[in-house]
Amino acid sequence: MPENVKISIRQFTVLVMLITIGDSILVLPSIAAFEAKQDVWISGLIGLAVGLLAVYIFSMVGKLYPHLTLVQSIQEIFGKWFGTFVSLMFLFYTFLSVVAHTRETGDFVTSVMMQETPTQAIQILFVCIVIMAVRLGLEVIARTGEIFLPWIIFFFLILVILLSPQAEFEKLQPILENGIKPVLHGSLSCIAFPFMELVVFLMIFPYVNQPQQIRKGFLQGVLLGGIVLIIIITVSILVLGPDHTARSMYPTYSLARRVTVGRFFERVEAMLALMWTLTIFMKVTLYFYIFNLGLAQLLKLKGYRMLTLPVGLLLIVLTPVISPSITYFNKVISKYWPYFDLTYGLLLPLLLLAVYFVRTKFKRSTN
Amino acid sequence: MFKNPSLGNSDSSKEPEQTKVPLTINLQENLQHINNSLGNSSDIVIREIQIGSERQIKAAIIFTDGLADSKSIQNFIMESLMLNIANADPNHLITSQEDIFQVLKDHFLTAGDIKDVTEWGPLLTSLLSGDAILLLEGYSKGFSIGMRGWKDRGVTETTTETVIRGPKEGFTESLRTNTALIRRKIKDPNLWLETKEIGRVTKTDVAIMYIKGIVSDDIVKEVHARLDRINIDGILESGYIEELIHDETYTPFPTIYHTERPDIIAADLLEGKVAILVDGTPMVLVVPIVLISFFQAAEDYYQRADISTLIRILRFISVFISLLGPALYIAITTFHQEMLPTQLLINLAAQREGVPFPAFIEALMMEVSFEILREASLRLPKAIAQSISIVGTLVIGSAAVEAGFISAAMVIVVAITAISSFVLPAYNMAMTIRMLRFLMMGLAASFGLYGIIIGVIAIVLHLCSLRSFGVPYMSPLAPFILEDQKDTLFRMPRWAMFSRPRMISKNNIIREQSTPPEKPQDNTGG
Amino acid sequence: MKRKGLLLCIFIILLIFVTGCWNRRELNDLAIAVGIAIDKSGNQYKVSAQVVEPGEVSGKKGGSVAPVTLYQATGDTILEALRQMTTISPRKIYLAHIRILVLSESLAREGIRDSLDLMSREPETRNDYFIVVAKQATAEDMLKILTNLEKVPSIRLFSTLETSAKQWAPTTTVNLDKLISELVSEGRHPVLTGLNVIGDKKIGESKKNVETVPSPADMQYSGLAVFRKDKLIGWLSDEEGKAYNYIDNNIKSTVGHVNCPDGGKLSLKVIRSNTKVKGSLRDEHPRITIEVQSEANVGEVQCHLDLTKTETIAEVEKLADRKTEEFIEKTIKKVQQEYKIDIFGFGEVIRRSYPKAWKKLKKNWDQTFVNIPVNVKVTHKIPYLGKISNSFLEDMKE
Repeated sequence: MPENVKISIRQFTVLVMLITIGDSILVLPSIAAFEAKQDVWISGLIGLAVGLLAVYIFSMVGKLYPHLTLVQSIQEIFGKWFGTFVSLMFLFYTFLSVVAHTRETGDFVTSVMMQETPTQAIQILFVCIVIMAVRLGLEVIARTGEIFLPWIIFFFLILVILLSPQAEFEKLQPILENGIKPVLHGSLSCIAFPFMELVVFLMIFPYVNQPQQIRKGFLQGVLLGGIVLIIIITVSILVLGPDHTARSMYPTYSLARRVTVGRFFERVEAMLALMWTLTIFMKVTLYFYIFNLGLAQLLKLKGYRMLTLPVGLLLIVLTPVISPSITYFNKVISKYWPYFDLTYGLLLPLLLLAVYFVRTKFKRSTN
Repeated sequence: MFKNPSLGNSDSSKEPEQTKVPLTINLQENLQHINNSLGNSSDIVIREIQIGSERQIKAAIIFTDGLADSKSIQNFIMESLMLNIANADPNHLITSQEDIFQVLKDHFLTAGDIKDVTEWGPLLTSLLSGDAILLLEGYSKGFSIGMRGWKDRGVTETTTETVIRGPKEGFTESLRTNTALIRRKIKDPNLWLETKEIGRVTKTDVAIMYIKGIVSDDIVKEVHARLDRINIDGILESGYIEELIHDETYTPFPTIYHTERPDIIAADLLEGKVAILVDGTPMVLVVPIVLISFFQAAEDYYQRADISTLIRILRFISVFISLLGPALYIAITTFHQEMLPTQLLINLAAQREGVPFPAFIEALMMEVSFEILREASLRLPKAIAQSISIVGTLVIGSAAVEAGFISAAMVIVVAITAISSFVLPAYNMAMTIRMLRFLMMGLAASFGLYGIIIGVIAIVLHLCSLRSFGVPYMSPLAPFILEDQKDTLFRMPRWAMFSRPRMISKNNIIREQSTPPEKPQDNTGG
Repeated sequence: MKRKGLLLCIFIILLIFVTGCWNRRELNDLAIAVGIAIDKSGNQYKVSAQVVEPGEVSGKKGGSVAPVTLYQATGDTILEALRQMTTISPRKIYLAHIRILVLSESLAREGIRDSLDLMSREPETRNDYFIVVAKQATAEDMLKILTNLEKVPSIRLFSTLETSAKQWAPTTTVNLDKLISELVSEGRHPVLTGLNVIGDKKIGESKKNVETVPSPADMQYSGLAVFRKDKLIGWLSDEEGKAYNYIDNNIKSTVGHVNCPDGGKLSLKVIRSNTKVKGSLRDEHPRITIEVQSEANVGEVQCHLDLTKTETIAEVEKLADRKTEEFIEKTIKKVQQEYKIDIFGFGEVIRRSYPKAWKKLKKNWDQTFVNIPVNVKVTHKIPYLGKISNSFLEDMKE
């Protein structure tokens, strides 16, 4: 079932950037600052460096079978039975990501914008447009990303510029107060959330029209997205201070509330809500697309579109199930999810590479 | 659901017989046939004459009164045939019977456009198109002589798309005038014109115009294919064609552009687009089209670049207001009061004291009554329309506020929204925005800003999925094309607009190689 | 098939629409609270909310009714008290537009931390209001006085505090974020501005208060409340408040005077001021250096000075330096000796420069603070003299 679509390398880069920013822009400062305090920007830098390395590995995996998606190449490398198992596990991971992110959207909107609205309604509306986007296909998703990116960048710049007078550089001091250890702890989430989750892009490598430029585009997207994240983390610390950043559930939202220019331009947090909804929409949509595509490829279906509605329903039902309360959810997200990400973002690609090289070597030696 | 194929075939099946039937030799029989076919219509004039002095040949001139120019018929047909032949030395010319047709054509008929007709179908069509028909006794063929000349609205100033600077002329209802208006602007042999006849009953002339070498051949082929697919009894306006050939029916967005300005058509042809002209309407269609085109007015290219850019940005802002104004007002005042500055909130709250309706209902009422006013003043004579709009806006608005039905702020919001919706140069796009405005208001009333965001995402997704004749509707924004940004949100100086839109004119990109004007040397010595 | 699916989708979406509007609150369903006062009554909290009567505040109409009203309720927690107000108020109290939060002095002496959690947790509230302490009075009294110039008393309190902090600088604007970060910081204790009522409270509560010139009762900010963690332990005077703002680098502009050598006074308008607090460590003993750089214009001359001479200007600058140094040092001394807690954030300064040493010092920082040597160095620059150079007093022969 070849999906007969192609996206340009520019669209690919834009998608990478948007997914990197994703939900991290809202929650990452808090999670990372919880461990690393005022040195969280160092964690961010470490995260970006490791992230770039990881992306390099992804592109290596992508080059093994440039015409196959990850699910297909897993089966190619691991064989039919074990491959199917690993693919299923991978799809389970993407699906759980979709569920978690949808949950996050509902939580955010209900806790800061509309307290009395049932989170289900918020999520149903959200899933509706996600299904709509996925049914329209990868090309449309990529184009939508291109439309949204300038807006996101525009709002981001406005936010940063308007907040810059409130920045207090003393808040960054002292550097490395408690040694390097908490910084490394903090960098774990900085590596996992924005960058490891990019492993799903292995599913759309075959649909990029200039495969030889994928690595460059991928690295560019990650670099730009990572810079945006590091800036937002640093601004959070500079303006809010490490304590407040760690304590807030959505530090970036508190940040946006701080904006005041004169007496007339204030209370602009809607801007941030818009920006974040756009990025998380792109992230959920792409993950949802990838899940449906992967499942359809695994089941050898003619197209993925018929899967979208049932999977969407499943998604809405699962969102309240995955965690009973926001405390549980936050705990899972900050304590265990990074390892979940690392398993699929680092372990899986490395394993794929290793098995591939062993097999080719083995084959060559037997020949 | 809406199509009934069994109905469509019944009358189309008998028409081919009519068209293929040849003429007979007998003149009277032929004339009888004409009278029968047209049901003795009183506007058909049949004039029987005798040609020549020695060997007289019976002939008949048939034309439609009002469509054909009767003065020309007298001067160039009757006079030639009845007087000139008699005066000339005719013997050696009219001796051989075989040649008489050729002789008449070569020597006597002093008209420009002469065609032979041998079958009834074309004969009747050209008769009803305003040509004069000349039939001769003993011949199973006749002439169709171009004598079209009916009362026509002259080329006048456009009423729907006015400009401050730029040509004022607009298309008319006559296809020939319209093609001439375009030709007058583009005198290149590569400006090609292909004509089709569409509509089984109306037989409307439809012309396709493009500049060979600039246009992408695929698009021309596609236009032909889509036009050929049309099987309909009548085409009365280009809107018929538009609905039958556009890419997507289930969309509020127009995917075909229409205009009555020749300069816009000329500019579009130069960009590699295809114009579809339909006889009987001044509205000319243009394909393929992208969303941005609806934001570009002709005048943008006649004013200086900086002015045009500012005005274009103003247009984007007003579309934004027009689409989201009431929705944002509803969302903020009923869901997100914390986003208003305190003083503003108190003022708004003071205005709303005693207003019995929720903000959404208030906005809906105002919007609907505004739409009613707009539609009413559109259909009325201009003089009355003005007083209607004054009554509507001033009297009803302020009375509603005084009575406490509506808050003054809502009147302001609706008024600014209404004004903004008129800024777009394209009326059909403005209607689209109006329709979507109600959707956004509904979303805002139930989900606040979140609903608006979701609505905007859905609209963008939909826009990104649209295509117009294969060209992505959102290009050059998505897919992003850097070179084409010079005429998208901004309008760069003329010398910087060196290339044509990449998505539309694929093979002939370079448009100009002018360099920016050099600054003159300062010779004053001062 | 496709069309049926579309219809189904539209139907579902319509359903959501119909059942929507959970959160909808029309503007005329809101009781917009602009000020909150919290008092302690026994073990319970007595919460007062100043609510705007929008019709009275905006526009030309109105005048017969007071522009605000005060709802009061008592409850075990603040939220309970707030919700209990609905038994009196026809509308739900809406907290997003609070401009001022007044805490009573007695509450502040017992500890303010429990009152603050609600304000920081409630998603509806924002953090842009100021927090003040009612000095020797109940907090509710502060919200009862009607005011002139600005019809809504809480908005007036907000702008008064902002203006005085900007123009005169004995007060300081503290919002929730700042207060909380100072509460949790190990190297700093918070301060809040004090507020009290001057004049006749009883008349102040009625419309009469704004009918006469001058108003019989008014509210005035005075002094800074010094907190040990979240408990109020004492007050600083206006001048000490100014010194606090100098150290905290909070001076936007202020006015001070110097005594001329030959008697008389000369006042200076400070238009720009920048303070650097530096910490240093000598044998594990921290010391603090405060460097203030001020730019001031001559504001008023009441003595005989020849301001056309550069030497005179230099002399005035020196006088101003010494004067400012003196009162800053005096204030630090007072805080060190009387309150024995670090409200200036010297601990933070040490923490930033010497994180390792700080780990040892932080355990009993307040003891260390009492004896910490502070070196204050102020430099004034007087670039302008105003519209005239020498005072006309010079030419007035008696």
